[in-house]
Amino acid sequence: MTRLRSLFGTSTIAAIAIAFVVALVVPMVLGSGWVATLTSCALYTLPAAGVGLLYGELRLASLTQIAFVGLGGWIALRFGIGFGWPLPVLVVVSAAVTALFGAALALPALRLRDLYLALVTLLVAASADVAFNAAGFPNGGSGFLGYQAFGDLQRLRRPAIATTDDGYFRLTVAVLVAVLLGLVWIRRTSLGRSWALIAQSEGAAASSGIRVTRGKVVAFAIATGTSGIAGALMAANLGQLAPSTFHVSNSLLLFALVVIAGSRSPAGWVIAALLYRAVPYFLSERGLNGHLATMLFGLAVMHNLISAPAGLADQLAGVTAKLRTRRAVAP
Amino acid sequence: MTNTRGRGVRRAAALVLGAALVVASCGGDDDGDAADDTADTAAAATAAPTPTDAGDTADEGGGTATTAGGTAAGGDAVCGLGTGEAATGDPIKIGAVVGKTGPADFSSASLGAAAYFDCVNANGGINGRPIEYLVEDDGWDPEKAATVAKKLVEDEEVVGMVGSTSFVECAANAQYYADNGVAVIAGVGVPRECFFSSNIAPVNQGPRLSGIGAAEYAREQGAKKMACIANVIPNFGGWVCQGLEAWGEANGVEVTSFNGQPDGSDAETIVQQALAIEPDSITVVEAGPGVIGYLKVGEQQDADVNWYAPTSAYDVAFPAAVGDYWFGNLQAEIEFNMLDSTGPHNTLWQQVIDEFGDASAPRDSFSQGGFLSAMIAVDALLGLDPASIDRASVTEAFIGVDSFESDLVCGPWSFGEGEHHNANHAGRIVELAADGSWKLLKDCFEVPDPELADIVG
Amino acid sequence: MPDLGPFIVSGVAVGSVYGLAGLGVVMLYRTTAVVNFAAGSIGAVGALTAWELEQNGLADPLTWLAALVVSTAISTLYGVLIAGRLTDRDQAVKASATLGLTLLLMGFSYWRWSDTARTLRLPLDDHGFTMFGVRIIATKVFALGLAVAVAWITHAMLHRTDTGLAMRAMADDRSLSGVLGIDVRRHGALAWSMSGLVGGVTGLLLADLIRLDVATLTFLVVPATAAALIAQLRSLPLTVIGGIGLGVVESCGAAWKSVSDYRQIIPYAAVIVMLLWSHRSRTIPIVMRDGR
Repeated sequence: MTRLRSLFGTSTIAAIAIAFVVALVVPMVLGSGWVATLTSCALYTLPAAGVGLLYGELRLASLTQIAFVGLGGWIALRFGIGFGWPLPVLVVVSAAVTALFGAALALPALRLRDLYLALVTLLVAASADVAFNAAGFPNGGSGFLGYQAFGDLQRLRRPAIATTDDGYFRLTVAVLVAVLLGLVWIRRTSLGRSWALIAQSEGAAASSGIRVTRGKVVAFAIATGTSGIAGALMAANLGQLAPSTFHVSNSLLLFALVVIAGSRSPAGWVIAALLYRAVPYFLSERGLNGHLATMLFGLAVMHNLISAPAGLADQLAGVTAKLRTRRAVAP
Repeated sequence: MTNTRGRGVRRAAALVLGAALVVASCGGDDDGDAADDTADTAAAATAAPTPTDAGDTADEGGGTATTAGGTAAGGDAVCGLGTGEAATGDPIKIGAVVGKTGPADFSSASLGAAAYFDCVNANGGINGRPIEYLVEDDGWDPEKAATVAKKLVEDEEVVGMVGSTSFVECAANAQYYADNGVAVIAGVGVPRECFFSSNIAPVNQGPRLSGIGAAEYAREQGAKKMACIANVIPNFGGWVCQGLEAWGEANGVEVTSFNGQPDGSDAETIVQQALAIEPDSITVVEAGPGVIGYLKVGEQQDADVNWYAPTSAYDVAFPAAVGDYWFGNLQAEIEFNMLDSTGPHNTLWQQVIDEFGDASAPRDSFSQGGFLSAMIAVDALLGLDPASIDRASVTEAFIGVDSFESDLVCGPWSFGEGEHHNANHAGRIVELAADGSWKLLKDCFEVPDPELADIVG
Repeated sequence: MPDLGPFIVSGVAVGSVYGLAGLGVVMLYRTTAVVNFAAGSIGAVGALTAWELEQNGLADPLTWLAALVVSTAISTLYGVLIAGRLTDRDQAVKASATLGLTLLLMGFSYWRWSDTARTLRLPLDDHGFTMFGVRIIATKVFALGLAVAVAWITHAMLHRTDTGLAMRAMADDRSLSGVLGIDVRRHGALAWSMSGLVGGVTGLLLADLIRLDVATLTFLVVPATAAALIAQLRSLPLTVIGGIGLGVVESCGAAWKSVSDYRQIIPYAAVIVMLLWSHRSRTIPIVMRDGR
């Protein structure tokens, strides 16, 4: 326990405990609609973490993270339906291939200045959009693409240990916690610490012996790999995928939400995913017209970018810290 | 510093949640939107199950219509049992998933269905029990479609789904409906999965048949070489145009497919590409705005080609939008009867949508589809013992629907067992006449899709 | 080898539209250092307003004027109320904030105008000529001419007038410009108004040439951004040329069946490769990000 604490710190252990309770209790008290929505939130926390890692640590804006979720999903469907590979293998393969794509994108793109890089990632997202529509998602067809316009539709099945919605929610949260712990751990390694200096000044980093390009490429690979994991999990959850889920506007929106929520902390990534999926669901549950909800969302994006420069998570942390000091002062 | 932070949080929270709550608690929904306020209706149903409340079935937007149904009880339109008495019993929950927010608004069918259910509730309901119709928006996102289906099936415990219309729902939920024994009488099925799922049966023909129907008419007019234009969306464009290719092969017409971007931004290029093969006719299978986008380029090029459209063009707003160049020059295949036809069911549709429908509800063929799906569902429900209506009995009744006759469609409609459902497979041809109105050119004919072999036999 | 003539001609037509939309992006970037993802939706709201007024019987020129006023007003309001408060943030954050405006405008458009089939026609549509077997309507020629004219006028304004100098200075270093006595607020608002006006004109033309639909017009910002990137977000004439190049490459891709469905990727990939080539010499910033 002490060793665990020295590795992750008390707040992390508290977070794990909270995740455990959420995974256990949510399916007991909330209906299926909410369980499905929160499963989706857990999934989208992964690409949000990718955005957060790149932007929070390295100040690199990636506007293509959800396209990589689609790529991960495509790979999982291709191998899952085509060869019947089990989910754990699919998750690993999806993560590895998307990470490879991410690294291949990053290696040359890192020559570009920040804004150019962001816009290049936008073009990548737009290209992915075109490709998803043209290729379709694998549904049991033959050939490289595995897509068929005739014949029996096939879908990916959930693993035997989590066939129910509740079970799959718990599985997703478990994977999420594992990935987030991995990310938190990486941030504390020498690689992670080098990111901070690279973000401050590449010149200073390079002159103190840090391999700047390697640092950035690995960050990109990790960030896209987490998106790949989300894609595989989403594919197994739904059985089939469609291009509209991975539209370029969604990648843009996720970036904005991560900035709003706070790019540096896992809490911020979770909040971003909640804003992305849970808030719209809450609004439609309340009977709000979908178009008005979109407008409201747009207003909230603008408002929060102005009013919460450090992110909502940071502000919440500030508030809890303040409460804690108050309690400490009070007798 | 901490102070400003605290204020920031409050302001941020005020916007993200506060404003949401304020708008939501005001009821929002002033355009009669399909997304239902389930929380409110559920609360109303449990808190005050009074006679007047029981009539409050469909969406919030239909508030005025339901009041009229509850008090005036009927008016001209007679639906279901036709008693003229408002139903007061324990509500029967029926669901629908529609693609409302997104590239196009597909909520029209659910509005047509809602109007009919309101009318039924004002006329004795299902042997005294009113229908509570819960419509959810999938936002054209498969993940959301899966979520709202679970909400309807597991949280709301609907007994069946009626009037659903979506681009993504069938693919996302077909397996789920099959696993959970839910039957869906879809208002308008669009992509392929809506027609190839054990528990989903749409009342329309689908874009593939509508396109082939238009092409068949073109062939009768002498077409030998045809271009098929549809968007590239998987299980839509390819499926539709491959259908035309297969039909062409069987009928001696050379068909070449062209797939454009879903947003139509490359319509110009696609039309050039199609014209490059020098076809004598072009069939465009798209939603209404998409058809117009391609026709506009066609008008500019003014090539010597005949253009054909599917049912989506058959809309009252279409002629004015597409312009007089096309008056007398465009034929479309329609999946339901003419909007102004005088058969008993179409007349009833006109009456009910006026009396019970939302003011903003479109009067289009999607609405006819939703209305028909609701009629079929009510007919099936009325055959059940009102006390023992549950999901199992309703699913059995829906799947058991056999040869439902209606003037809204050409032939009898059946659900039936099996994986392939396309009971509506005969259509009509209309022409955009010289005066800018739609005229019937050719009455009911069978659409010769080779893929229908297992249904038509 | 297929006959590329018709594809080149239609590619130029589509490409000049990309170029025109790209101009709005570059103009604003050069004057305020903001990449505006909302440019398309601002134009769309203007065009939809024109359509609604036309349906209500207002004379065409008045509806066009109304469209320009609406687009300019939205853009100016955003510039003053939102962009003005984000000046010290990352460029990526400034760009994301315009996504907020995009969502607001898209939600509003669907809510107010739904997705009913509609078209916007400009009088020039009825005139035209034929080239390589492709008929070209006068609106397209007008769009191309306008793109060139706007590029030239803006270029002249930025480089030959004091206002232009002030704007360029502001985009480079806003706080320093303020210290030097430039009224950053007024010039910022002016830059947003100008870009709104161009957005309004583009919106009307694109609504006529492509489709009067808010989503379609909004996401034209992607090829527009690609055109802007070809010009390195700097040169206005290059933006127009780049846009035309994109249109031609994309359109010609349609001539080959095997790549046809994927052809929109070709111009994007080309832009990325081009950017990488032009940035092949790696520069490492020495200055600390927080200015130390």
